[in-house]
Amino acid sequence: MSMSIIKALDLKTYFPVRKGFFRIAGYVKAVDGVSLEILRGETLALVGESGCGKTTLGKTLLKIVEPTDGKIFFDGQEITGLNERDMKKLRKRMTMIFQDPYASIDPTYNVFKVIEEPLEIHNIGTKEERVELVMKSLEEVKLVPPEDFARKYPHMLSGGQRQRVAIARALILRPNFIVADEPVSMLDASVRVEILLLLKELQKKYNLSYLYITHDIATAKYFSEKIAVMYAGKIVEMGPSSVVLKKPLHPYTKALIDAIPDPDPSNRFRIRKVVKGEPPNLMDPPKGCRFHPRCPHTKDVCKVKEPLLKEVELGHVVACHLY
Amino acid sequence: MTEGEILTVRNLFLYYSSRGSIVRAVDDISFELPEKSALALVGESGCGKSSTAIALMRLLPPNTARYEGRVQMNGLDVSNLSEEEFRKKVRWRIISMVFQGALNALNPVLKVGFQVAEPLIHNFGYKKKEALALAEKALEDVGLPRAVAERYPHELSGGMKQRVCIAMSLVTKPKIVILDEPTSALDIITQANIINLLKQLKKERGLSYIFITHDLALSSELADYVAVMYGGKIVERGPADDLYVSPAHPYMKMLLNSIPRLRQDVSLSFIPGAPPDLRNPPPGCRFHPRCPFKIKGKCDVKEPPVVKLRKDHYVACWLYEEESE
Repeated sequence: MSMSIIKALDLKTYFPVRKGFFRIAGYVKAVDGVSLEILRGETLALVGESGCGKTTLGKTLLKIVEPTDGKIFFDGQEITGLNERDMKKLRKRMTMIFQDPYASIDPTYNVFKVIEEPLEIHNIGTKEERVELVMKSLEEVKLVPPEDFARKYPHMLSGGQRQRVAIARALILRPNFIVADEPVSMLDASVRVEILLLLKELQKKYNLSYLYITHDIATAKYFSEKIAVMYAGKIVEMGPSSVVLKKPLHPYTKALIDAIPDPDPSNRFRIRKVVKGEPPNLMDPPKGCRFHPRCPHTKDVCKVKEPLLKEVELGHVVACHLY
Repeated sequence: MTEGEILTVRNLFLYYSSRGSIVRAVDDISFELPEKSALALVGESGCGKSSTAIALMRLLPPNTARYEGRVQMNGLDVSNLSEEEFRKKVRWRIISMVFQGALNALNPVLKVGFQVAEPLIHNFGYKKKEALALAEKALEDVGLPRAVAERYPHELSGGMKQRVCIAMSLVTKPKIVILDEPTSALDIITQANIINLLKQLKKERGLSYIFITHDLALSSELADYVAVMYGGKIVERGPADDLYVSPAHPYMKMLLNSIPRLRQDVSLSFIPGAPPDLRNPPPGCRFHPRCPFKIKGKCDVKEPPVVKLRKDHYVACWLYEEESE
């Protein structure tokens, strides 16, 4: 058993952009040279704005999307070259929770069927055993009494309850690794904590590892041991959550933190410091550091030379020419 | 109405009929908004925040079952105005609104400038050329280049589209603007930009806002006053400085404890249970099934009194019965 559950080395996922029928006009470089590692029982938060490649990276790690280049190891085994038949055995051990529980659950299935389906696909247990497993998992996600919820249809549930169903479905095969893609961003602020605490509880119980994809660095603080900040297809900073938040190094990380308010009534008297501009087009990202057109500290070198990730202190890496 | 109040709402009701039952979305709420200030209307989904906005704008859906209350805006009692008068004098003129998700509801085949100019042409009889000039000015006022008027929505980013929506709500020069989750579809940095713009517009134009959101961190960016809604009722309202620092209602306290903080180390907790079904709300205080402080035989039986705690700070809760002035 390997200490790390998932490891990526210089991972690249490019999507071809076609012009006409055959000609490839270029590539959207959604993930462009990402290396990371998540240990057993650990959560890595992947933070960044929409379109920075977070979701593509998550899907690539699960091989829902084929990487263009680079290597992925799952529990010590390289999975990059595996065909779909060999992957299917591993699929039980890795899964994904999506942002929108209204869209990710089949509205014509009742809750029982939603959660049972993965067992069916993987041919696990007899009908009776499956019923028992589904009921147990409903209890685990605190949809009690389970008999009542099993009969319900998605439209009869609140957003939070639906996300619990999605979690129960994801957990029914007892995976080791879950990509949770903005699992709480569609939910009410008060329900977010409830779902995140549930995910934490289940993590402890089953020694799960999460890649927690979010644009909200504030929830990442509470939910993850490590934070990776992604910008335009690249990880620009990564380290222990407490360190990254207390001592952010990359100007982009600082910008993300500055943009988030705490509940504080004196906020209304300040104008927040905001970086200019918008994230680049991933078909044609800026030369040098991809953040340089928006960065308040741009030097000449930033415009020509791409900064590499550098360990500034133990476990804290940053890709920026300032360091 | 007191001097200096731009909006006074007394005993406002908005019920819908839905498949044979009545949904009590806004159930006897009262509040006021001083001139040039912002009121954050906060609460969980389905608590009646957006219905309150719809009631104030009088954009009532066909299944409205009960709509009543006294509303004064800018010194004018609008409660008894006919639809015709309300449309001419009040809607968009005194009070306007940025709808939730409106940036995705822009018409894809019309140029942005025309869409901003439309209410001027259709509602207020401006000539097209005149209206377009005002629209261009409005776009400039929200930080967009005038040339955006000639663009189509798909050519703009999310943040730019939201600016267009804000320009639309301001082109008619209203006094009060309702902002219904104006940043919920936007990225964090874009959100901060839009909030900065709203702060600046409020100051420059002396606007008053009703800011609808479920996010107490975000609401603190604009709110001078806060009203907390739960199950169709306002359970607490008062100055932001009071409510954020010493909240009184158990619901508001628990809501605040569920908000992650980047700059402080506090542990988070959540509110067990789910908001009430507004077709059949619980008797007594609507929060009592989830309240850890409920007094048996009281909270579950009788509606709580509205207690004045300090200046402008009111709470509807049995725990404060003794403190009423």
